[in-house]
Amino acid sequence: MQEALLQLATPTGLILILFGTTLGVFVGAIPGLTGTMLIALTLPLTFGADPQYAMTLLISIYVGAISGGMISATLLRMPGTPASIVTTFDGYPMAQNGQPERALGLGIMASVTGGLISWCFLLTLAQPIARYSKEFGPFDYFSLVMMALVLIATIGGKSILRSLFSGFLGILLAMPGIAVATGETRLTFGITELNDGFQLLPVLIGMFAVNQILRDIIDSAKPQSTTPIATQGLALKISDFKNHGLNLIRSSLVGTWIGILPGIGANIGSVTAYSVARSTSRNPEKFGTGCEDGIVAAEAANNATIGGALIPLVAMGIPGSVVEAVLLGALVIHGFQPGPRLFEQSPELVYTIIFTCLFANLAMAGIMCCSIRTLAWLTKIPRAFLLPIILTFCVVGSFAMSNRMFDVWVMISFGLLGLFLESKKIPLAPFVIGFVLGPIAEENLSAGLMGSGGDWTPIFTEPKSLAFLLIAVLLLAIPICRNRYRDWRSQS
Amino acid sequence: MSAQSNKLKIQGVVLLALLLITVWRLINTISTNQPNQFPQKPIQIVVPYLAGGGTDTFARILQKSLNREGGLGEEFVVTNKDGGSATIGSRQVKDAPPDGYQLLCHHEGIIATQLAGVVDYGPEAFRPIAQTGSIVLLMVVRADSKYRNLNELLEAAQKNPNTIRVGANQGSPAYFICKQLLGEFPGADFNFISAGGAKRYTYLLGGKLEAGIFSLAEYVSFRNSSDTPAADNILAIGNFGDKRHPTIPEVATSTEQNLKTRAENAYYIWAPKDTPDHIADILARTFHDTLQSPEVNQELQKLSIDPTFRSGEDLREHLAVRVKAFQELSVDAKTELPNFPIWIIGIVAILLVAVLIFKTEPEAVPEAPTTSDRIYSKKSSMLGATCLAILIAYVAALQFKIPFGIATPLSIFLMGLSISKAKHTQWLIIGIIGLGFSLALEMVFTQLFSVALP
Repeated sequence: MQEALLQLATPTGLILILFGTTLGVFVGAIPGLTGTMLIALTLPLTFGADPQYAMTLLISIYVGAISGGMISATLLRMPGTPASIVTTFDGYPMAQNGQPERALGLGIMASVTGGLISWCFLLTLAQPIARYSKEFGPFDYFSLVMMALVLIATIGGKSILRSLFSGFLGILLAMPGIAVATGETRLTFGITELNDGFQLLPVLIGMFAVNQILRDIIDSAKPQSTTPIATQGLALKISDFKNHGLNLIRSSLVGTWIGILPGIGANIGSVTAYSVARSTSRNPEKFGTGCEDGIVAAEAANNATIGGALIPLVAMGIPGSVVEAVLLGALVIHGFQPGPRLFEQSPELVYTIIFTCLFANLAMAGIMCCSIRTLAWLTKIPRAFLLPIILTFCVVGSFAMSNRMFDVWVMISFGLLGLFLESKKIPLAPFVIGFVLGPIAEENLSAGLMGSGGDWTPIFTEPKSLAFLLIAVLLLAIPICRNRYRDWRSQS
Repeated sequence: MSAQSNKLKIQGVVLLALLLITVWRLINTISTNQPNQFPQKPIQIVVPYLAGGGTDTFARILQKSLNREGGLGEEFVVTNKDGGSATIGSRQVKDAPPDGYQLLCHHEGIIATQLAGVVDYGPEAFRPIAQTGSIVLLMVVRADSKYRNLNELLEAAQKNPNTIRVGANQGSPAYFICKQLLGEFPGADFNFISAGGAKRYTYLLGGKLEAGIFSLAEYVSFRNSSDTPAADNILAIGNFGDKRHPTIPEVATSTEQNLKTRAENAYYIWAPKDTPDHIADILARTFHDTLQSPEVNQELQKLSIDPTFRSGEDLREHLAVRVKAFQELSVDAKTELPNFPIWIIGIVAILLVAVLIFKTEPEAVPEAPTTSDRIYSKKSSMLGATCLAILIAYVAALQFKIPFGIATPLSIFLMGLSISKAKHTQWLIIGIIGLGFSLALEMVFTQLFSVALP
């Protein structure tokens, strides 16, 4: 442990952390470029480097990128990563109300707290907690995913019906391509490019970035109603911690626990935390209009998933997300054998990973705080300069992920679809969450059904599976009941 | 006033400089294309999986050494084209010009995808250049399992068919090995459960699977030290290779267990079918030399990959044997899974109808639009349509191989002009942004990350 700390405390170590985090923050903030892509592309550059430094750089990028996604989500309503979709719900309205700096400040505070709380688990409980993830069977995963889908439907918009429609449309559009369980191609209509289905990145960029850019371009023709930007700076007070303390801790815990489960990742973490925050809030109707609690819940949870997802990675060699899968590859390339024995064989590397996670979180807070003024200025850059550049990033980003133009066309088509859906008042967040989670749900349901010989009842008889379904029902019911109760009281 | 014109002058100079650099770069790329000996330009190794995966790692180890030795005088570049059970990447190389500049690095999954009916081509659609490594495959159970060897496992599958749960995706190489094993025990059957990679390991430990097939590299990394409780550890009960492996000498081979099933996986380098002999020979020799180098050997040892090399006639015969081994088996889906697409289409249709019927609660009546609003909305949708048209034209231009360095600044410039309503005070800056940005982007991607842009 000391060795790892000593190596990180050298100028090279610190510079790598600062550099990686900064790079991650900025790339994460640019719609169209994601942390996953940056890490995958940076990996070959680290081949010749010392493995500990290589991991330091990659993990710093990871922490930076998840946090950076918040910036464009808040200021431009373009989530830099899927994990920050939920941040757009309250971050963007708050920025539009003239408080972009306050929104970012709250987000940073929440991100750091979430990161630190999950880091404590990573440091102290990595191994015992990782053991817990193996208790999850396919039906448990399926119920967990269904829970997240129901939750997003209840928080994404005004009408649950429309949200559900949007969510299932997302699941449907995730279906073309090769079925996970059977290996057969389906719904491709003979288009060979569709064998791989629609990729998440172009769909996400299209739905949120391209759609929003076209919207902004259309708006730019109207006389600009410049929102006054209050320059109250970060405007964080000690009382903020007091007011949001419970929410911060709860959301971080939710994020950490969900991050541990392989293949689930930051998306469900932030959705669930947001939903819990709303159901337990005294003013649930304020969520979605620029509510501080919403930003705090979403950002604390998505950063907490990083620490959570690193737990199975270092303790068992199991990647918790796509980024982690690339990190796992990095370990192998540098000659380590990820898995349960990593702790015994190369403790210095494990502690390097763990402490990088801590330092990168702190560095991220510093970098974001220092650049927050500059970042808020993003909203003031003339549209004629900003929008064409973001659009080019979107094109290049969609292309570079798998080097094919088909993905770029997919991006444009989904941009138009997004524009159309929103004009019909159908929310987009459930669509993307459905798109991401549909295949996971199908894979696990298939595996479960294969195991049970086609029997569905385990969904209700397995205790963990049942628990998730009950939580989903509860979180659905609480806001509805409370509204009924309030109506009834105001009438009587 | 003079400050203003000075500013304009500076902007003009910057714009001119960027323009010159762009033109210079374009001329450079065009003029280097003179026909001569092979190779004249970087050679792409297409990896049909994500960066960081097993095949990718393997390809990049080779690439590192190929470029260090500098044997061919041109760089090797690894390109990831993942997806579609690796058929997206393999199809690209199959359809590439047979000039040796696009190679595929892929294992025997290429045979499996054809037999599983994912694609209608297999190894016969390529010219195999070399086999560059072989992977040992193992049957693995939880360490406290009552099945201590392959025979016990299969006898149980024979006595109670469909009760032994084995993790393998239908049509994957692991699936074919199991089918081969089952063929030796009439009436035996496994209950196949789709679970790939790390999940197979968690399911195995969690008691959700009885057995699974792992590569040696996976087994070595997942295995705990011997003092961990057996319920938290895994155990290999059969090695499908020719002989016992020095890393795990205690695991008996399937032959030693009196079984006929033998299996291994191997990495091959494939080129388009009509690649001429002299190019194939040069490539085969280069890969042969690379595999001999001590650095590559050392790296491959870490991954538990044996640096087996085959090429030419030897390789063709080997592949024919492998394809035959796969062909004797058939893929059959046993558990009837619900038809998910139909279900989802049904649900979406029902919800759509519901959304259309239940118009949501009466919305606040929008204020009557004023005439000026109407003019603006007409203007603004025109602007939106213009920019969309520019975007589509830009992507189409890239599709038809117009260089990135020309199309990008032009599209940024045109879009910027339309948004700024052609304000002449801004066109210089927009020009600078367009040129500078596209140059920088091209630099970062091609030079630093070695990713080819459209």
